[in-house]
Amino acid sequence: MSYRKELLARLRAQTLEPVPLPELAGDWITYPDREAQFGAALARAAGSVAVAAAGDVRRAVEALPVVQQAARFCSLVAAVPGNLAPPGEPGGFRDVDVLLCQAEFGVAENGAVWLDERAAPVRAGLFLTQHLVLLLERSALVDHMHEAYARLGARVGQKGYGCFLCGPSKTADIEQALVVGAHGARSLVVVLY
Amino acid sequence: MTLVQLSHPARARSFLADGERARFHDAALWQIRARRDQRAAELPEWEALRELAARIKAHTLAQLPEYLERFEENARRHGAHVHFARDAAEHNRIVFELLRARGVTRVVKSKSMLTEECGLNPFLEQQGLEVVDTDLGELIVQLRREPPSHIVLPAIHLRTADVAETFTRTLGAPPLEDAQSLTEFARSHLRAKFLAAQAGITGVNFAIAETGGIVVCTNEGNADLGMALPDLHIACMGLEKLLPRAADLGVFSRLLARSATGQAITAYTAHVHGPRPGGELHIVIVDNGRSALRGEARHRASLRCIRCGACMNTCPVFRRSGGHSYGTHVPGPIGSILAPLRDPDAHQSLPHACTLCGSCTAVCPVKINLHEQLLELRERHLEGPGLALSRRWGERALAQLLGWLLKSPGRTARLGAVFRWLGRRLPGLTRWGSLGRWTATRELPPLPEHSFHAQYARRRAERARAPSDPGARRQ
Amino acid sequence: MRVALFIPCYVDQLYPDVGFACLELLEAYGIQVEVPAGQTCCGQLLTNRGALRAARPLARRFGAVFAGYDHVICPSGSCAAALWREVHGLGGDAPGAAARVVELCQFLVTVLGAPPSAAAFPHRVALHESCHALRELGLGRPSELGPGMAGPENPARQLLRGVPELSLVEPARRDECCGFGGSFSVVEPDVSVRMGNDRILDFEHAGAQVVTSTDMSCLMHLSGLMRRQRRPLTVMHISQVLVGRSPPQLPRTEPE
Repeated sequence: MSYRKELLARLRAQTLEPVPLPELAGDWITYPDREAQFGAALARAAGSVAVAAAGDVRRAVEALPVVQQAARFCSLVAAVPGNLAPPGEPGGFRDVDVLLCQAEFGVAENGAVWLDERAAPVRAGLFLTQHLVLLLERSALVDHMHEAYARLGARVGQKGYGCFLCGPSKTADIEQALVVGAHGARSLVVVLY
Repeated sequence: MTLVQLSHPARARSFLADGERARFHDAALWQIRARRDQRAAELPEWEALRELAARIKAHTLAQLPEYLERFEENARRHGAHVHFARDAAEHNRIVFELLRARGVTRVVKSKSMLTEECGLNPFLEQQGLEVVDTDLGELIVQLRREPPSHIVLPAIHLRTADVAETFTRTLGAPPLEDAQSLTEFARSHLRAKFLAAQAGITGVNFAIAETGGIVVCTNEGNADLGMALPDLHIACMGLEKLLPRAADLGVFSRLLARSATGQAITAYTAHVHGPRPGGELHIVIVDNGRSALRGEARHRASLRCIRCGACMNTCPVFRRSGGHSYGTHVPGPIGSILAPLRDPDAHQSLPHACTLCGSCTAVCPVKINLHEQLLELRERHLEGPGLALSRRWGERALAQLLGWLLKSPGRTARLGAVFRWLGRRLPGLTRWGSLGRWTATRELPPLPEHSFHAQYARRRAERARAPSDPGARRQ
Repeated sequence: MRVALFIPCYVDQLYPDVGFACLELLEAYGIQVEVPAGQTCCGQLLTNRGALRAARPLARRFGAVFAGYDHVICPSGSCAAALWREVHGLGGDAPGAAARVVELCQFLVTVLGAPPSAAAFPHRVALHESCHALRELGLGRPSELGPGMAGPENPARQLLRGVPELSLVEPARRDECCGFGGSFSVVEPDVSVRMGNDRILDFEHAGAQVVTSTDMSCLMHLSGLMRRQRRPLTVMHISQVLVGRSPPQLPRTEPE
């Protein structure tokens, strides 16, 4: 028999002082130069930013050292061809050297970008790829997380997976020494255009 | 006063015996505290965020049954299954049954203090399952067969050489010397585990009632791998992890990592609504004493805890005694409240492992009054249930005696004079008992011949005898 | 205004000069201070162990002895905080007098407007900010709090800056606890000593000759360690610094 009914009865039998749910209003920080703030925050998270001159994302991506050194480059963005089709099953992404996706928007406060399954239909790819490159429109930068969630609106609650991604996978679990590239991507570049 | 000598002081002594390790532990955690300060200083609205977070959590706790129902309804709408567990045993049974029914023998697990609390790993292992902890710190302590010593930094009590020795001994790793190569070794070892796993168990940082989704935050991406590869995802959460609205995540996502590790945000903040196509998502909501805690007016605020560990990083006692000194799965200031509430007799020393400095309260992102609750627990131990009757009577009697002595200036004066006289004439006495624990390492203050009040009274008497003294200014 | 001086029990018994330094200091500023006879302990010794019931008679006595004063000056942040806690209902009775308790430096700054010190103190001084004064009484800016909480600075620090020839040095960890914590010092002696030693080293590396504080209890613990280890620095209560007492002689290091 499920504990559910008993739990709800127990909780309802307790009388607690009502506490109003606060309005999420505040004098939140804004950044005069969101791009600079975003770049600085991402750098602190061991990621990096590259800027596509004249919006030529293909050239900017192909010029990245990590792409040039990649044997298997899988692109999920139409404008930039890769040399490897997206693997059929999730585990196949372990053999991908570089994965290219489109990020939806970025957050200046912390250098994170939002992606969901529209950008990465096989979510495992984001974590199994050795390196990750993300495209981001410069105009798609918000100041802070409140704005980020406001921008997502009801979509954040849609079925599926979405993620704020900030920099590559990392850990400092061994004697507080920062190691970049724990289980997920070893590096992350955001290409702004 | 009778001093209850229990496990924390004894274990702290062992911890401090290795001076270099203790120094490293303190310095490393202080640095994380310092990074937290920097992240807080970047946001003028930091204190406003803390206040909001505290009130959101307090509101949610006040209306918990409604939010639980709403969360369940929305989670089910997305195709997730929701289970309710009364206690640790039921949680473990539910999880095991889900695995057994699908013939699962290989499980990967990301960090979840709740599963530590329930003892899930040993339970599943006893049933013959392979459970691999995939958070690097958790993997290390799992291989060493010891508990994590910190809720966010499980292996903070270890040095690189300890990890190298562990990997060599248990995984057959070649001799490795630095964090980079050890992590690289763990990466390949764990990738194989992720790819072969039949189920992934994760914790939950936040559960959103309005949408029925769960949020999991990591730096390594291990939770995400555990959710992205196996077909079965089991998410375990305490019932206090609920938040009302997705927008509330704006507040908490700005507070969590800054408080925990001094990062602006974790590398991955995953939002999961329903199972993957072709997969299953089971959410296990656990009580295990939380509903009872909700009924305790003076300690209810502890349920706001978002398990960030900031209180541990700032606590000068934690930094110098290590998580294992607390003898409970969540150590530090918050643990020193939760454990004694659950089992007062087993954890009597914990509320006293504290100088009441208040630093913990000042860093807590949800403004739990940690040090005040620790003080309240001291009173509860003395006056309330728990603590062996004989000890309570002894300490209470001594307290009453001291109270009686100290409320009288005459008795205080005589008592003080006797102590000072004895201390000067028979210094050997100061090496006994509690005083001995002072004098073993510290000089006593020089013991004056006369107290302030005695000298003051004498000076007044002298001036009264010479009232025309032009130099006299005092009453 | 009627001003009384509360003498903490350990100051009375172990550091009587601190009481006299307070009197000299206040009288130098023209304040006539009464020291009511019949005063005893604030009860912190009991309340910090959870023995709130046993401490209630002490609270009642305090209320009776100090009734009728406009300010009750307390040269101890922790005692002032303990008395304040009773006002906020964490103790039992709430003696009205406890509401008029004010820590010494807080009085000098907020009531007297931080008059400059006449006495010079030509030494390098570090201020140890006692936890209770800082986080319970709000005397200063705890290093944990974010930018939005910039209240007035620690009155003790403000006063020290006004002392002629005094050189104020700052430790690396501005307001970490010294490890005294009352009975903590003997219940958890290893951690207590470690905390104290770390604090002393921090002050030493900052170049301090004298460590001062609003709280003689913290200083008693630090001094106990300094003297046992013959470290080249010493302690003085802030009242003693402000009236210009000479620092106690430091131990001469003897060749082993």
